[in-house]
Amino acid sequence: MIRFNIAALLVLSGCGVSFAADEKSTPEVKKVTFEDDVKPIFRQHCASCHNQGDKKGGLALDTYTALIEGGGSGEIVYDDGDPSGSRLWQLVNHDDTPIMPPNQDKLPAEQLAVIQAWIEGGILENSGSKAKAKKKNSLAFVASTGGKPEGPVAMPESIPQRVPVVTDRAAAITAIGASPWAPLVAIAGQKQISLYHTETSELLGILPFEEGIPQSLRFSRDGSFLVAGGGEHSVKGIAAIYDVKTGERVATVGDEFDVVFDADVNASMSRVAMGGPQKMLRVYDATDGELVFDLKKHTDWIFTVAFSPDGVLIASGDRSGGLSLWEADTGRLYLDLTDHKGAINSVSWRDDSNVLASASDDGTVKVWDVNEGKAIKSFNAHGGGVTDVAFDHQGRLVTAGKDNKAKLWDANGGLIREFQPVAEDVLEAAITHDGSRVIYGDWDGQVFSALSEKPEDKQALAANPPPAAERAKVVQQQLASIQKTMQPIKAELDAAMNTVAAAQKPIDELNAKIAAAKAEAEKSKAAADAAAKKVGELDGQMPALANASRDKHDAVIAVRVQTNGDVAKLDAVAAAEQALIDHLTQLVNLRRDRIATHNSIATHQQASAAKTAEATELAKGLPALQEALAKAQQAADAMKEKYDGVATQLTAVQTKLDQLSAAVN
Amino acid sequence: MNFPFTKQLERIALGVVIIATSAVSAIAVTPESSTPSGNTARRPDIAVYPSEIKLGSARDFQSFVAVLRRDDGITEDASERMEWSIADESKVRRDGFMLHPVADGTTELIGSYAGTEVRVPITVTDASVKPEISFEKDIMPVLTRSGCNTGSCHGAARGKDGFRVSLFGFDPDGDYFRITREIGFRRINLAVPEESLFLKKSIGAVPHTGGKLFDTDSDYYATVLEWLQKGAKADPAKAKPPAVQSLAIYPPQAVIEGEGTQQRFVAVATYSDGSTRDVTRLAAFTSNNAGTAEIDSMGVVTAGRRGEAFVMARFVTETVGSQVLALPTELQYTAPKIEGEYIDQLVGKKLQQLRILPSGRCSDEEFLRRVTLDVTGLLPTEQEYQQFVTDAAPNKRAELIDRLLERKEFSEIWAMKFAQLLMIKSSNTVSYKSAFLYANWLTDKFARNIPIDQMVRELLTSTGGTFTSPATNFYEIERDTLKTAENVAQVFMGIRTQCTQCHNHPFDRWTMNDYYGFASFFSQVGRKQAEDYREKIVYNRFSGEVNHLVTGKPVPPKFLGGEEPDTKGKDRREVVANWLTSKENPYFARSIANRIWAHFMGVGLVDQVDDIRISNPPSNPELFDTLGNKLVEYNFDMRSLVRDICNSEAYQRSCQSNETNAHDNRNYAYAVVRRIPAESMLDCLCQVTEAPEKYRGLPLGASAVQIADGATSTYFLDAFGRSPRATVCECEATTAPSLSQALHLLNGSSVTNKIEQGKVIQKWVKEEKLTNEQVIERIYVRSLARKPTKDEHEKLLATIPAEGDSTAALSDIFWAVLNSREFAFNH
Repeated sequence: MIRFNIAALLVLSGCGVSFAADEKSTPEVKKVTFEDDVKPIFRQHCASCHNQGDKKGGLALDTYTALIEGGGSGEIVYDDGDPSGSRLWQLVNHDDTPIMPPNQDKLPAEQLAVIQAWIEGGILENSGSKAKAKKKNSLAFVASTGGKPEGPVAMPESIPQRVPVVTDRAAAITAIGASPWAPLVAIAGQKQISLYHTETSELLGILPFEEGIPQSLRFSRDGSFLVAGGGEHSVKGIAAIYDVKTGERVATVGDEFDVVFDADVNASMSRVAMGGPQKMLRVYDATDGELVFDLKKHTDWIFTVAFSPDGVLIASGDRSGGLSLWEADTGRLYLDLTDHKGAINSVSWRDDSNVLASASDDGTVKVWDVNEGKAIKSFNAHGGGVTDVAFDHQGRLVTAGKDNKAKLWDANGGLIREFQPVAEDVLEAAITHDGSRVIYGDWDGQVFSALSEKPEDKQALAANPPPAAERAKVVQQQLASIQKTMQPIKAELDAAMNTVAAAQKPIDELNAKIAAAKAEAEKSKAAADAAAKKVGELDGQMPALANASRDKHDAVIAVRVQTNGDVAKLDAVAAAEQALIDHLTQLVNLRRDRIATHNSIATHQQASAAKTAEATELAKGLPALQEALAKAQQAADAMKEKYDGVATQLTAVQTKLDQLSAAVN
Repeated sequence: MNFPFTKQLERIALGVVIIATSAVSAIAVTPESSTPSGNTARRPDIAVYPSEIKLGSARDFQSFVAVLRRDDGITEDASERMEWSIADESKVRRDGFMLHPVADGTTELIGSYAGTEVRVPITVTDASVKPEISFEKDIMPVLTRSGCNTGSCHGAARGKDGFRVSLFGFDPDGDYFRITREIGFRRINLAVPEESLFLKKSIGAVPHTGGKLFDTDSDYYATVLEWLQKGAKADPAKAKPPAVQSLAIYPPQAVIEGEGTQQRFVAVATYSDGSTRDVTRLAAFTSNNAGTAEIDSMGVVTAGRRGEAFVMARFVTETVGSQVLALPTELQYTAPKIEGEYIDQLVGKKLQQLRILPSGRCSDEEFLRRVTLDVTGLLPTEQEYQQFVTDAAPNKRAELIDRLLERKEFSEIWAMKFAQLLMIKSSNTVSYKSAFLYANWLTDKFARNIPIDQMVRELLTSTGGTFTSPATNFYEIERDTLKTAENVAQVFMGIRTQCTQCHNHPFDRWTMNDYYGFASFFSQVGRKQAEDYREKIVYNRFSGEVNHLVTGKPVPPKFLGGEEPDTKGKDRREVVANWLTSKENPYFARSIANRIWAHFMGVGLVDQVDDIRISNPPSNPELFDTLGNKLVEYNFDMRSLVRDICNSEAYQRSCQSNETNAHDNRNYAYAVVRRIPAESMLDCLCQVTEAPEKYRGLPLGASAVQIADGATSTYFLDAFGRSPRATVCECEATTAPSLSQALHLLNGSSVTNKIEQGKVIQKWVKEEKLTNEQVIERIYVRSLARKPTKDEHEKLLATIPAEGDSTAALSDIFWAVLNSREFAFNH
């Protein structure tokens, strides 16, 4: 751009010898100033009307102060270095009307270049003036984090499937609304609203709208409710609020004598604003349906109404180009935004509530700073008129227009992408929550969902879905085909399970053997332990017995001594001697038992060690087997997963079929 | 050169001729014996309309009507009493008075009644082809017919209730856009066509300010619904439907007897591809005199009170009309013999049609005053009075006319009349000198009896300084190209094209293309400053175009209702001036002749004289044409035409009406009493009181008629409706009465002061020593061109005091006479 300025200057000064040709020389850029460069141009072309004396339209261009002051409609040029936001530039460059100078050709290109360079240089007064540091963008966009609900975002779960009115073709598309946080889009039709999944293009269900045709579809800030404004032309107008998950209508607000062209609900879901051909902006209490404000200002049909995301302001636009901002809480007029020359067809708020975009029949989209109340951007978006505009979360704009196109723009009004043209006026456009898809509908009733990055990749969405019965047939076929694909998967799964079982068997056998060996080892060890224990017990008994035998022996001796040959007393001796013998025999047996038991311990321990060794040997074969098993198991698990996936699908389809069948009956 | 408009006029004229001739033949027979049933020997005279029927598609149909003309000229709707049949019923099906195609081929519709058999050839083509509904050919007529696009409804400049269509459908493409695309989501619903607001409004199914326009079982509904069902398609740009080339309404004339009697009319449109279409259910019918002939939406006329009406059918840009006469039953009428020249022949014919008896001839005194006022704008002097009244020559009236036509006052009056139309008046942009020179140029043309075509040519092609070549002021007084073209059309052709600047003319054939094409002739007029700061130089720039309001593109020059001439390298004004003043031009001569006629007869054949249009037909079309032709024949010499008019019996009739003609004021059965125009009135006052006025730039004693600059005026002239010369409308100069006029004459300075200043009474009494009776007589003769009646004499003499000076009393009598209605009116 700087180089362009230099070139422009050179044309002006006429000394373009080798000045700019040498890029490395980075010449001192001559300042373009009002006194030196711009004023002569104004004198030549403008000042005969716009001078201090005549002041046509309240504007004088012959002095710097008068110029900065602006005219009857406000300031005409700003020091932000942005020509496109300058009324002066718009008119002299014939971007907007009334073109200046009136009924004449544009100023010569070199003079326009000077004016442009002057604005870009910060509208300096004279060579002593200094430009303000240029802001990148006067309202740099701060992505909003608010609004997104915690937890999962509402998607339809059990919404109606019946088509209230079946038609061969769709009428002109009246409304398209995209959920701010979910892959969900709503499309208006005859007494119905079709909800589509934006990623799969699947028809999720149809919300009945008995009152007629919805003219506007807006999701609540958190995406859990859908507000539909509409009705029957010249008869009745209402706004209906639906629960996105269940499809139930939770509220019906308003009772207009003509249709409602647009309705919106505030962030807290407490107020509903609506407007239509009756020219009144009405604000209702959403909870009890009471009319809160009845605002009379618009002189023509109200085409569009929107709450700011923070709920502070309401914007409303009408068919004569009237665009107003209202304080939502008080119903007081906040600002009039007056630059549009044609009907305002649509408005959209940026997430931060600081910026509003408006689409008009005059072919422009204007972007307004609502704090200052001035247009910060105005760009010719669609020849013939712009029918719709919508911000996405990144501050980009999607527009639809009567040049049969939908377009995507960056935050500064730079064209990012044009979508494939259709045969008729594009009337509605919406952009999905992640900005990945643009959904647009035309006068013919066609709706397309196209990838933002790849517009040629698009799917048609019907605003006139076929009846449930017909759709049920399709789903049934789907079901059948799923079932068909499921059969081989099931077989494979069974096979895999068998493989797993087969791999398990040798492991089990081996384990049994190991266990048996281990059991025997245990048993021997137990026997050894028992023997040891017995030895211990016997050893415990031995002293007592030995003592007792000594006592018995002593008793024999004592008896023998007492008798001394007394035969009578021989019996006693014999008895005593018998007792000794018995006792000693018992002792002998005991002692022998102890010896035997003690000997058996070693045998047992040996046997145990042998068995343990056997078990250890056997266990060495296990890992290989287990590996084989794990492999088989893995294959089986994979198969199972595949199977489960299909089975879930089948269930879903089955559920859908059930829903559709229910809707048919 | 091609003048389709001529045909139209001829058609109207033709109808009149037919009835006129039969009426003449029927005079001798009394109505009682002339009823068809009473006269079995003669076969009834029956006509079936249309006389040829073409059915061009499966959708096509054609209704027909039979008209029986009785011997006494009365027509009756005979459709009901005829026996109808189709020669080949495999070709055409008859349903009541409606024919539908069955198969291709030709056959005949046969109607018979009381020995008369009428055969109407029918051609059927494409009987099995059902063309798609066309927006322009089928939907637009429904809108127009239903009144959607009238000025009080959606045709208003800002539309109605948020919906606008072009007024009477001048912009079909725009209307298509507005119905289908302007608000794509509201007016039509292609998914459920029956739910389209466009349809629901028209059948009253939803609240509609315009109410219910048709039923769901009507063919209008069916047409629109089918169009919507087929996707509300536009006519393909390459295959636009043929345009309507002409329209006819049948029967061309009806003479209906008895209040409440009805006659059905049929309207047939012919398209540029030669096909015809029954548009009785699509045309808009109107009557210019609903009290006499009321026409309903289906073309049925119901007769009302006695009189004449013109019922019109309008379809797309075409308007045609039929004359309807309503006569009471049992009318006793014996036609008088028609004598005289062409004017009296044609006026007489018309009066016979209307069964009206003309009033008798006016007296010599009345004639003298009338013709002198009309031709010279002054009253006859006492001397002229005596001479004429005592003249015994049988052709003294003709001689008087010749004498009067030689007077300079005659040219002055016409110079003034045109000065009004050309808005000669000094202003901020036009200096007094310019205006003065311009007026003198004009007066000079009339004084030298330059033929009017020559004068107009000179005016329109004028080039040079506004001082040196005063005619160039025409382009200085009105500098706007479009207005200049409008003024040329209105002043020299009597056509008001103003409507067509923004939309096609609702009551005439003019379209926006005609308007801008005609304006294009004046788009190259250049103007630059001359040396004198008051003077401008007008020249031809040879460049510059006029853009069409709707298309925004330049429109090549096109004669109004004519061709597109080659203007390359030529002064376009010259091309248009030559066309305008050529002898073949149908508008110029007729329009000028009608202005002259209106000046002498009080009311134009077309009234207003500068509002000639199909829907405002001349009361006597044949005379209208003949007068124009005569003016051409006389090489645009006005005096010759004036001579014819003043010599006619029609002009010389008494202003007393009789029983048969009292209800009529358009057919010249009696003289129309008119107030004397402002300038002449002041001149007459000056003349009789001998008290001259002084006007800016003119010597003392000059007449008000001679005032050159429209900005010069007096209170008297303003009060009496002098033209302010702000527009080219003839209606600028009014003779409507007002309170200020009466008060000014009674209390104001004009009459009293003039009587005192002129001292006429004093002279008569003091110098000439006339008796009171003689004075009264002279007052009467010079003011009213008659002698006082005996009764007047007696009553007036009684007011004069017997003794002393009678001047005061006689002045009062003079004052009273000048305040009388008889003085202020030409009768």
